[in-house]
Amino acid sequence: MKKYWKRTWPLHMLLLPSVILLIIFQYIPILGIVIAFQNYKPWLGILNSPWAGWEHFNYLFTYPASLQVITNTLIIAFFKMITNLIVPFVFALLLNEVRRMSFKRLVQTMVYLPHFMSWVILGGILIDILSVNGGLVNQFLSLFGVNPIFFLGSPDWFRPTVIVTDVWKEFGFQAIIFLAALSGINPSLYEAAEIDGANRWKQTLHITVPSITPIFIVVATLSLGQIMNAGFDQIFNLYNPLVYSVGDIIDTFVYRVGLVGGSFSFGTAVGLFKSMIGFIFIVVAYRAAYKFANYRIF
Amino acid sequence: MRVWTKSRICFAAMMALVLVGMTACSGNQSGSEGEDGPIVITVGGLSDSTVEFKDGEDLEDNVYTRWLKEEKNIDLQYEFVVSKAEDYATKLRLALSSGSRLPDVIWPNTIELAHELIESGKVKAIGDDIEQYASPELKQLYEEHPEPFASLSRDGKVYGIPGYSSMTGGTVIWIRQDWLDHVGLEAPKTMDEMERVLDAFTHEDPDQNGKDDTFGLALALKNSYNDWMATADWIFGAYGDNLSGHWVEGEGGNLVYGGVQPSVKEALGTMNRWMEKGYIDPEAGIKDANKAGDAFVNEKAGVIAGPYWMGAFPLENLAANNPGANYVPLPLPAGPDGQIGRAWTNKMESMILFSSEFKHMDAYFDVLNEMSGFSFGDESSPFYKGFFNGYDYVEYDGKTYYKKEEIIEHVPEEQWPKSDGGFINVQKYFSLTGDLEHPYMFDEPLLKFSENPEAEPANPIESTVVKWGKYHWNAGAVRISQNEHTIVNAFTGLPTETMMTRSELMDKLESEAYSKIIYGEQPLDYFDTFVENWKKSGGEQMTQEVNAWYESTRP
Repeated sequence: MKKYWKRTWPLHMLLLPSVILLIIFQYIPILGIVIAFQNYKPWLGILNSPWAGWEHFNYLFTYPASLQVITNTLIIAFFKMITNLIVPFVFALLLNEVRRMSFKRLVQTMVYLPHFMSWVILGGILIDILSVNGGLVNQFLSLFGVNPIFFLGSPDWFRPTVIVTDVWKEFGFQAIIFLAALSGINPSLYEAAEIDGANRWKQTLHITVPSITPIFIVVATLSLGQIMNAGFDQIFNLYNPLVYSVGDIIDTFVYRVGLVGGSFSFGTAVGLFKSMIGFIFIVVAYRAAYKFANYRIF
Repeated sequence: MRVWTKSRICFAAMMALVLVGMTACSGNQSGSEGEDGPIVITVGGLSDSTVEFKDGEDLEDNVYTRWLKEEKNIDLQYEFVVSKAEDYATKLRLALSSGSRLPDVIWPNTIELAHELIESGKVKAIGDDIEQYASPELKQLYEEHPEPFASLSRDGKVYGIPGYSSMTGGTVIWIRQDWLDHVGLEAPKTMDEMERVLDAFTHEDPDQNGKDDTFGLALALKNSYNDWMATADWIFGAYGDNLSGHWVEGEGGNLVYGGVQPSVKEALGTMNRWMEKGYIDPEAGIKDANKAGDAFVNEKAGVIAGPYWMGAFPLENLAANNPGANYVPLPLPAGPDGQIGRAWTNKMESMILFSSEFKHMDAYFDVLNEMSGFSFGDESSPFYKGFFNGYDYVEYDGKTYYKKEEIIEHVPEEQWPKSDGGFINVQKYFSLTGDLEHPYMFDEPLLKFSENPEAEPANPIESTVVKWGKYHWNAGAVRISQNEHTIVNAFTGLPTETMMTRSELMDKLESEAYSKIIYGEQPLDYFDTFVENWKKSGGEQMTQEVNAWYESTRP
């Protein structure tokens, strides 16, 4: 043991400042969760604010639309998660096949730029592009004789619109991880397969995919923790009263309540609720990954 | 004994550096104590891109701060400066939670924030200070327009003073006169005539470009039914004095919530009919005021309702794009019973509260009394002509100039406020007192100039109005002509218990219900279901609390 420390203490020292930061800013604030059980008033502070027990959780669950709001969150987050895994994955596989480096780099850059755009701006742009009166998308659809679709105002189309635009924005950036993993695959595997007579498709199936599977599982499991985050930024900029029933998510709901009452406690309570659910999902996924893919992340 | 090899020393040194670096970047500056000379007053500053300064001046050092220093011996210090009102609120809340000092003069931007400040006990009750230090003119002004004080009081004590609005708000209809001419119709005076006009604008190619690409009314329904532009308040007002967001007097003199009254149902029915016939922007439900306004500016819509100053912004963009476009302001049309109504303008534009640690209320009122000279038209006041020479007016060679063209013509360039001869809106950085406007102070001048554009200004306030131009005068006159039709929101108290916990839900129910009816997703009778829902979800309770407050304010 002593030998281990003797050998590695400089590395631990190097890590120490970050660990201290982590403890101060991420772990100690966890104690602040107690706010969720109080009626927190900023000027009274944590120690003096009146106790509220389960009041805020009660409000969250007895709120008439709470089921609707939670359902919306889960559905949107779930579909986003799946598409945000599959699309970048497939895209990475495809891009990996491109031989001309300049083209590959160009495409990669173009495709991850939207990640850096803010939803405030994108929202405004989308309202124009998806417009019922002569928006680009509807104009295009009319070439096929399809009637104009009110994407952002129709309860049937709002969720798909949200999901598709989010994937469009993020898939380039998400693909980076997969592309990096792909570049790490040993080329001699491919050569061996070619000698054995495997064509490109078979090579992809038997070499590429299994090699990236571990990364895929890691990304999938980590994203599961976000199951309750359906994307406040995006939804807030795109939603409107016509689509509350399908688009109102937990975060937009908390935002409205918080705006009226300045209620830190309620926001904390909901945040706690979301974190607990996310935590459960991660644990389950981790166990499942181990059981079915015999794969440990940690 | 560990061997201190080079690499080990390096590691240790690096780590030490990082730790030291972390601790060095901490510590807020607390508000500085004043010296014994000038009186120090601290404020928070709000300065966005629309605030203009002269070269070499900025928020903390300008003609206003210098005047305060030289004439009043006041050192104005900014505890923080933000560029958005919400950021200001955040800073205040942070100060509250961390227990750090609040600025001496505080400008909460919402009534809920004011409520929190009052509840925290960190703001001063100033009833006595007003008694003692406010000038007789100010006191009279407060007596003439006492409504805002209800929002600033608690348990009989007054905690702040209002920054009054000039009450120039009030919806007027803006319409394309050239389109009216093309379809051969007169300006609509009733809702029926308006419907005919909307029909023509939608189906009879009013812009004569051979394409069926126009519709009648631009409307913004995303955020509220009474957004700042492209509003729908006049439609509701045409059927009754009932509007969402307003508490009005009902039967028996009690207050009821306007948004659930029967006349609203009629208005929604009309809007649904208009939507089905294509008269209204089909995307109204997802558009906010700016996007909805674009429809009019881009010549897709022919009618839009909004404040009287829209002629300048944003409609000037329309004039820039299409010089032939002729848009004019109209009075709101009357409904089937001759009823006209529009949303109210809050007499209180901003709220000024004072930290409980602030010790110089006398100095504050001294400044307020003196600078109010302009708004009172007090000839003896040093501010009679305006605020600062070379900023909002220019004095040269014995004459005072208020019009940009005259300044360019008569005044040498070094004395121009801005490089293009235009004026600088100094009032935006009067961080102690606000822009010092009084209710209705511009109404008479507006009427005077709209009737006689060539008239000479008889006093500095009129000179200010003369600057605004023809569009403002005419639209202003239209607005003033319908002042009596304002639907007054009689509830100006602090949010009640149920409002704090339930208004989000109620607002959501309301906007969903209205939208569904307008878009035809629900039949008109759904309104009754909505009203029932509204009452059960807290509406009844809210009404009771509002009336309890109403009782308490009646003499």
